[in-house]
Amino acid sequence: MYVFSLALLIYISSLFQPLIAFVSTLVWNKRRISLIEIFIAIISSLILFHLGKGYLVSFTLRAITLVNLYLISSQLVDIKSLINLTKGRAVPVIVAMAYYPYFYDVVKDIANYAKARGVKIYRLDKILLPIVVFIVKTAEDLYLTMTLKLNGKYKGKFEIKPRKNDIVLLIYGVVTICLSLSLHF
Amino acid sequence: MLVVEPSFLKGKIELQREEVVGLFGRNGAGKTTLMMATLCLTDGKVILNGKDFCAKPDYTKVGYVSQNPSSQVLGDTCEDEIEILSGFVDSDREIARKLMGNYFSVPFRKLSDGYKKRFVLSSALSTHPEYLLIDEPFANLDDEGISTLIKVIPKGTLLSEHRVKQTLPLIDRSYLIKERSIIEKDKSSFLDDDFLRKEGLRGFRIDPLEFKPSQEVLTQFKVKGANISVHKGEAVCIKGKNGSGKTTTLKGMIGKKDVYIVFQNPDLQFFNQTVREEVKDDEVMKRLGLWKEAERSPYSLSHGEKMKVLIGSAISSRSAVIAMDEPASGLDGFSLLEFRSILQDVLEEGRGIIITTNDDDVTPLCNRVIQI
Repeated sequence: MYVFSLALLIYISSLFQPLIAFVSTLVWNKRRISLIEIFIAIISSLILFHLGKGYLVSFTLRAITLVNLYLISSQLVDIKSLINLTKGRAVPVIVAMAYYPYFYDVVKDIANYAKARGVKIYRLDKILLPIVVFIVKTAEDLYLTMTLKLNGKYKGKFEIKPRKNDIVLLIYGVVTICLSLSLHF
Repeated sequence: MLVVEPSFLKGKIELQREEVVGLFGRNGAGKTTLMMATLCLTDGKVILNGKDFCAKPDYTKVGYVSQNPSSQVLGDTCEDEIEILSGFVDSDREIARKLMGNYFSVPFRKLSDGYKKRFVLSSALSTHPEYLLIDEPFANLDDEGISTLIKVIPKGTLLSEHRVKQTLPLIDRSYLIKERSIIEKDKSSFLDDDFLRKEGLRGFRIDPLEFKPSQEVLTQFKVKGANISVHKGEAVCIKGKNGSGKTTTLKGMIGKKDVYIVFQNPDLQFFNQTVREEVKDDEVMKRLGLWKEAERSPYSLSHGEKMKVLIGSAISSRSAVIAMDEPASGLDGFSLLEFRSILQDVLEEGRGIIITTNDDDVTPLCNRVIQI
């Protein structure tokens, strides 16, 4: 919840001072991504000014800020809060997310094995066979796992009391919006 | 005490809280089904501390860890997994953190095979089960992986395993499933090579292949930068720890016309509807005893038979060299002897064999062992 509050505060500040909002999101990124984003922002601004459409720069910055806010949210949101917020209904989604890398690796392996057998990649009738069998078997195993591990009614509670980290997020959002508003007016 | 009387077997298993009990038997004897019966998922009678467990199964009291860790995780990391569990059952984060150590917050896919098994074990132990059922914990693990795991297997565990030698030091008592009966056997019986051979169990000393390789080179490949030649009639083993690059070495051979590669998981390597389409040669099917299964789907076969289908496809491919990645994993003693006899035939045909393994039961089959 506090992560989403931070995202909302930064988004509002981007309506007044897109540059401040954009810079405030760079702190959370990896250095390489931040440098790429700064490069994109500079190049696009130069092009827009050159074309006489400088008023669009704020939209560019806002767009990059929104992407960053999405990345920040997915980075900072913790599974427990998400499960508690949805009263346990998000568990299948979270489990599915945990399986994407595994599925990716297995499909990559199947493609390799097909190559080793001389099976052409466009022969979907052949390639799909092990993939479908694998998915069905994994689903069966997962059903058993969930039956055994999540044995009982959901008993978690949504924790409204902020932790130290949540307070830091809120302060960061408030400082950003104050700075934007004071520079705007 | 936990007492299990599965309806498909004669006899019962008794498990006390302060002991680790081993469960042995051939492929298809019913070890995994017995575990399912203990979890009340197939027919049987289960008494936990004098009460009927199946009347209202509580899986926080009897935990289960299956063979394949990859399909029994709920979270990306062990930390996430415990968070998910804690919404439904009382789970002890500290015990999981202690067992996983520095790997508590590391994504599952980045863990070594030993730690992947430790991940699922930590998750099962976090609910403090009174009893734990573990199915083939040591499958595909090297010595380091096994010692990583052995340290955390608690008392009150029923452990089903093929690798008898590695299991014996850990267990207090043992049962053998044989001819649809559960028989309690003294641990010392499993030290006898003749007994293991007779019961189709693993752990006996296998005789080397009887064939002398010639000087003719069939193929060459690289292992960690070194050039290795495979000669006519030669079996070369590549031995190394999990993650040392054995499978990668074989993957590097994909595309070589003179080498046919059989990888680890058979289910990911069948691209046809029937055994006949997969093997493509009636004579080879007859030789390997697959004739009766010709019209069956390869997916419906036992693990040993699946391996035979893959080796059958390799033989019928007429490739000069057959490479196999951990081919004996999951095979019982009888299947291992059958595998040996197939390899003997392959060498007598003048072909070469490459086997990657960390299994000490397999290396005696090779003329040459390359350690990574």
